Amino acid sequence: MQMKAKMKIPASLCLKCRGTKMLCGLSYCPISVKQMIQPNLTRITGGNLEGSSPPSVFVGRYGYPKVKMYPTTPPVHGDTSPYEDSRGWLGVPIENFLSMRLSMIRGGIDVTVAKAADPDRLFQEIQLMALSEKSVEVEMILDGSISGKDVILDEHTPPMGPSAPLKGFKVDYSSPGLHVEKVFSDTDLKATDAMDYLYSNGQDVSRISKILSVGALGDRKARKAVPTRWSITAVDKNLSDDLVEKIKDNRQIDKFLAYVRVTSGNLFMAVLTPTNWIYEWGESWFPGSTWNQWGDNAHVMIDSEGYYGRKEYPDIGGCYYSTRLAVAEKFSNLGRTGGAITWREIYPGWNLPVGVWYVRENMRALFEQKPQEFDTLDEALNFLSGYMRVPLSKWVEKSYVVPTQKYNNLDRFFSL
Amino acid sequence: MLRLTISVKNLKEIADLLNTVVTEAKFKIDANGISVIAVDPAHVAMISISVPKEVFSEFQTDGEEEIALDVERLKSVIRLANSSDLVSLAKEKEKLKFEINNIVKSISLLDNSTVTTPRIPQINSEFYVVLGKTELERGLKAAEDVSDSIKFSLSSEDFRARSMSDSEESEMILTKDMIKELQCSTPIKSSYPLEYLLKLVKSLASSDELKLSFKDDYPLTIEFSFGQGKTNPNAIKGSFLLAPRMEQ
Repeated sequence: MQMKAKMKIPASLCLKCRGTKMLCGLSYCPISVKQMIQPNLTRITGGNLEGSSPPSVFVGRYGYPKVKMYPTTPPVHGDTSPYEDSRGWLGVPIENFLSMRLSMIRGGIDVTVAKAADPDRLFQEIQLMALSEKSVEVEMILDGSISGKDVILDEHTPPMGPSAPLKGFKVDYSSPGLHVEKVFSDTDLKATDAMDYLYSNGQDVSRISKILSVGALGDRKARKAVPTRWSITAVDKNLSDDLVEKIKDNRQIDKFLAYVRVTSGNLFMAVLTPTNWIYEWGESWFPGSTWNQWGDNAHVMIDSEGYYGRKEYPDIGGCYYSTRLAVAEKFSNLGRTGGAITWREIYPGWNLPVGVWYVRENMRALFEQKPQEFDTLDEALNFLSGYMRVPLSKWVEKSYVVPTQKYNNLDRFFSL
Repeated sequence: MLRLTISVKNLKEIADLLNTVVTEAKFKIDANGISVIAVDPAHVAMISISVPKEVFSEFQTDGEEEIALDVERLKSVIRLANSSDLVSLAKEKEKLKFEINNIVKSISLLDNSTVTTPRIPQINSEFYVVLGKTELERGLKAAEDVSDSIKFSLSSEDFRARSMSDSEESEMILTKDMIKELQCSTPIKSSYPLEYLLKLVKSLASSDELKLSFKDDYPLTIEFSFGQGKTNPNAIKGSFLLAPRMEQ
């Protein structure tokens, strides 16, 4: 398997470092990842693959509405749930996370998304597999050899291992559990309500989006398979929409609460404000990070919404909603309402897309910390600026929340 | 075909004014001239400018059209010229070509759909004051190091602009006889963000008179005009709207 780095790393550096000091400046060690994946992949013989799937199913988006659907498993047995539950991934070294996800091998079939309403036997088996609460034993016969070039590294979906066409499939699916069973069999329940129900009954985004993506939610006739990438954002958006409406009735927080979280290659920041709901998510990609390979400057991009939310999909992408969910969860837990400024700086070594879960889980972890309290927005921003590498003025220049809160705005008098 | 020639001085002033609120703007061109409306991302300030065709020394257009531009790019082109120069603009496919003396430079247009045009709101305040730009500017500058907001008050006798902090204070008082026009029957007052006002006044290089209308805790409207023969109906006209700053 080849992990393409955008720079050449001198061998002498690797000899000195041996995966421990990150001397190359990357946030993960490409050599360690390769070594960790290799033993897993060599275990596959003949096109026959056996394993315990967490469970995991990936739905591609190319060719929509005719897409590829891939039941997925690592070639290992036992409880593989850590391979799929994004809530635990922050606690795992990035190399181990990548090696776990990249050893998830996918067997692909062609499906038309609307077929989810009336699935054939294979489609139905894949649905039931995806619904299972615990890891399930699967056997896949793959057509031809798997290709290492075919791994998925995407900004929205978690990484996935290589694939091959699926020729034969056997699954020992297990019970979906009470709540999933209920929404799956309730064919009058709207998909959005089903998502809210699952979430309020303790199911997390990664499981809800998986169930949504195999077309197991919603009105019977309207059920459709949903590409994994879209399903994750649909769940983040839908759950946060619901929570944001609920928190608007709460009392406002009393102070400006500032949060900072430093991770390998990233800085996450937030200020919760004692105001009505207003929100922005900003990213600054440094040259040499995933989405700014060729630039000279750290580029700041911010998307935002006022009290009534926004109508258009934000240019900044799915992280906007992942973070919005983390913010709404925080206010919901506090039993309060407020506004939120959320910013992330991404440094040069971070040059591998791992999916929006990374942002959601880091923002959740950020809000679990104890905040610094301030009386004014300027003080809160000054506190954050001590951690930033982008000048505060550059963030403020692009910010929507900062000037709105400082100056009030015209929205109260007329709609623009 | 779209081809316009205008003085660099006027174009620069238009670009500077727009730049006080936005970095991208969409211009509407029709048989009468050009108009543009922009609101800043925080929805604190809005500016609208209309440039009648008489302001241009050359004005050719085939009916109505819209062009969206990066204002900073426009300013960087203007910087190549002297203010006494003329600049010709021509639309060529997705580009806008500038000719300034012996320089030809093209900048790419933005996709019209990416730049939204805000609706013009109904803002009415019957009380107003007309004053010299330099006077207003002096009052704003006096307040600059005191606070980030300024309170305007108007009565039938005078116009006052006052800023306060815990330790400092600044006030400009212009009595009726120092003011060009004043219309006010009951006293009114409202505060505004100073930063936006300073930027606006700085960009208004060649306006002499400004008409300020407002009421209690209500958006401020500043009407201005500039260009050849400012008093003439064919001058460039504009208005600036600013949200009031509500005191905590």
